[in-house]
Amino acid sequence: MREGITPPKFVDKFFWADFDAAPMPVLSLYPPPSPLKLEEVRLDVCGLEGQPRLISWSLLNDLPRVKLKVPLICQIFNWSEEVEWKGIRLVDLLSFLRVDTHPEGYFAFYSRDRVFFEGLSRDEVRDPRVLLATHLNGTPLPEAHGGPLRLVVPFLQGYKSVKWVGAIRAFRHDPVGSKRLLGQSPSGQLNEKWRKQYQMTPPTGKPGDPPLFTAEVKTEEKPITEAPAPLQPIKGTVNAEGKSVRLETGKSVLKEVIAILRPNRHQITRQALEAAGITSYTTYTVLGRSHQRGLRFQSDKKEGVAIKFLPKQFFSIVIPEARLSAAIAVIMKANRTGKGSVGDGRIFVCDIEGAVRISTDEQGGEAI
Amino acid sequence: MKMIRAIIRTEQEGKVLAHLEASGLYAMTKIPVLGRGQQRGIQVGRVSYGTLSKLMIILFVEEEDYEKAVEAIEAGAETDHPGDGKIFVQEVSEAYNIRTGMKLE
Repeated sequence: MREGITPPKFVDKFFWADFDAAPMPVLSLYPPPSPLKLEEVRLDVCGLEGQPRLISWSLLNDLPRVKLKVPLICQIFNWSEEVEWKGIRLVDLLSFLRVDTHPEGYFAFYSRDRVFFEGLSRDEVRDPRVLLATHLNGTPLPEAHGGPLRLVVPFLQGYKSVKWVGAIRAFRHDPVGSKRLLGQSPSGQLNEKWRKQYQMTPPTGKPGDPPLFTAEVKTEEKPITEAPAPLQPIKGTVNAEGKSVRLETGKSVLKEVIAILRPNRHQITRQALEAAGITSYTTYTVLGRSHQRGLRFQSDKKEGVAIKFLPKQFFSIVIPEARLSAAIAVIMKANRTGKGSVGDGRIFVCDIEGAVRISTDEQGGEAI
Repeated sequence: MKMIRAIIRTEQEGKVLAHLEASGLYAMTKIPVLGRGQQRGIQVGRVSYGTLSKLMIILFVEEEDYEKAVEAIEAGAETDHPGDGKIFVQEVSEAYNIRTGMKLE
């Protein structure tokens, strides 16, 4: 056993307690969930509006990542281990998905084991030191340490860093996590000793304050690679204090996906797009035809076409180039009737030179 | 491949379609729209119409058919009066057929 660790009496309540594991001890109150393949990973994110979205691994892979060297502090067992995490900054993910909670609200993070969950206040969530980690010390996050996706909250007690994150939900009031239900620390704050040792201070802002350090979200100009995907190069780093946080801003390329589809596939397409995290589009009913010049009845072949134009549903979706291939795949899958009959539709892709969000004047990729 | 968006007089629709069909272009999408140009609509006596009913035709054509399509629309839509419409052309980078899942070249 490592030096200094003082297992309390209730250590036998833990399903899994391995104090000699590398690079840090493994502690799990409940049995870990069954392993997942990367392509099966779905992160269920839901804001206060109550519309959950399933985020796939390939989409998570497209988001910029940061490296963060911070300790994981387990105050209850009296150990800490400084490790290097790599992952998606939580505030980046939430602002990318445009998910937020009430200014004085909370977020809850659920482990895939369906038992353990913990809550964080909005200020804690928006702190740039909070990551959804995918890598530990340069290697993909091991299953034992919460792989493939875990929360890292360095400025709170270790139990707040939920392993095997499967869902994120916004709450107006404190959801009261598992640990507090078990009668432990109400907020997971570190005591003076640990704070002093690592200069770890929790965010001091009042509820509703902007985050301490604003991070710019960079959209990677890379096509989506199938999971398990090779890692994307890291463009920014943060030190333990969360200072000098600055990601390189890249030019984000926008594309317009025009899809002309069967009208009865409208709702199926909408649901499929939403499940893929594509929520914004413009659609209208049009009349259209292809090389068949419309519809003709089999009985009267000589007569030519009977119906010159057929009703179609026209979708116009403007997205960052990184998500283009995902959008096309989603539309294809939702609209292929598979009977070999013509009329399933077409997809066209055009470049968008610029975009402006009228309400805030945000430009380019920010406007989407 | 190019995307052609033509905004034409609704009453010229039949003529434009006939010209396009004569050029061998059958595939298109049409949308009734409301629009106006430099004249800001039309004034008839004391009644002014801010927007006029127009028809938008969208065609996706190969590079070699693009001039043919523009000429056909022009020939069909022309009445030599203000309000005949506009033709906009945009580059299309990719195109897919959903039934076959194939990328169109």
